[in-house]
Amino acid sequence: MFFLLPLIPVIGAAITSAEIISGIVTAVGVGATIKGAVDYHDAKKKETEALEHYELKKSKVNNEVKRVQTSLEKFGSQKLTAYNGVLRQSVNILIEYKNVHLSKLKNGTAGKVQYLNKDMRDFFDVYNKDTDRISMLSKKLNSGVNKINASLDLQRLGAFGMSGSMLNNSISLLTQSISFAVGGSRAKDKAQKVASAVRIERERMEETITLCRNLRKRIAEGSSVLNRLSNDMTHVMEDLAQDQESSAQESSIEKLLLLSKTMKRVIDIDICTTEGVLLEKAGLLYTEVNKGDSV
Amino acid sequence: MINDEVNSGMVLPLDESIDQNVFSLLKEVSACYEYYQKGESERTALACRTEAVVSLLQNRRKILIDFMNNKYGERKQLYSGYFQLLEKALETGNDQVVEVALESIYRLYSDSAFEGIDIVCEQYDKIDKVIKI
Repeated sequence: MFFLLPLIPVIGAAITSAEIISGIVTAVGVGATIKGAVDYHDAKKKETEALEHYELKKSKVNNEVKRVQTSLEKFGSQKLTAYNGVLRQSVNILIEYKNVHLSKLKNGTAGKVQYLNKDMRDFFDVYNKDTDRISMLSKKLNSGVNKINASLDLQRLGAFGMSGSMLNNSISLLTQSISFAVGGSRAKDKAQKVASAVRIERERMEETITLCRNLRKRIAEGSSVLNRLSNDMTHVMEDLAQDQESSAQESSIEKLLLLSKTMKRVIDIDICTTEGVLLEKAGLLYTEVNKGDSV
Repeated sequence: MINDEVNSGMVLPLDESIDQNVFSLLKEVSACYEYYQKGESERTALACRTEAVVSLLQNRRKILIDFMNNKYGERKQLYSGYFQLLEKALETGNDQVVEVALESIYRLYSDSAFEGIDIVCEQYDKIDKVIKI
């Protein structure tokens, strides 16, 4: 038995090393697995939240674009109402007055009435042929959401398409645990990239919303101008109906002619064309309907 | 007895193969740690760059809002002035002033409310391009 004594430390050392190694392996393996699982969970949560925020903002942009479209359509209707209402009424009065009192009109006034009348006739000819006149006047605004989707190019930012595993194809349990931990880290990389892309895109979409709101202000401004001009024309027509003296009638006719011409010029301006820069900056697209028929 | 245990796998043999296995495992753990640290640094850097771009975009939007508010304020005042002038001229029957007021209203209406906005955007786009994500 004595001859075995020198082996004791060797056996002890062998057991201790084995235990230490297996302990380290187990600890590292368990630690890596837990870390990987936590990272996967955090990454998934972060990515999901980011995409939810993105969808929410996209829906706000959609709503804002719809509001602009509705405003444009209402404005188009308002233009048509003005054309068919106060402007047509005014032109009829001017023509009637010209036919009855041609000699009383100032030099050139008869020609201006004639020109305006022809201009109006051309408009109504086209209008009668075109049932989609509102679109022609207001233009159809397409939602810019497709463009917004395209601009959220997550692949361009490297959010997807991660390369294969960094580690080789060893199948040891520890290596699998490490691979899992590395996978968790990669998931966090991807989540961070998605979150970054979404954060930036949300800011860009906020700008689109701001620009849409300002486009609506511009439409509201146009609507206000039309209303005020319509009111002034109505007052002048009322005054004309009451004017007894020919000099007062002549003055009213001149004023009505000037107002009618301005009204028609204002109606003919298309806000979408005038504010092309704004639409471009907002990433909005609009189609020009029957532009060839535009007055 | 030891040999039995070694053979049965209960005790790892203290030979060269153990050293190699341990070394290999430690190497993997070390590579994993390095990768993890690198990933952490990259994520932090990306977060910083994102915040920088977001901050630029927010400033740009603020400038756009201020620009537009000023523009609309100016236009509102001008419209108000022109319409007052028009209404007075219509009352007094001054056709020439009516013509001038209407022409001014038309010009204001036909001018883009966003004229100059592209210059503002352009300046910010230049800065935006400097910070790449």
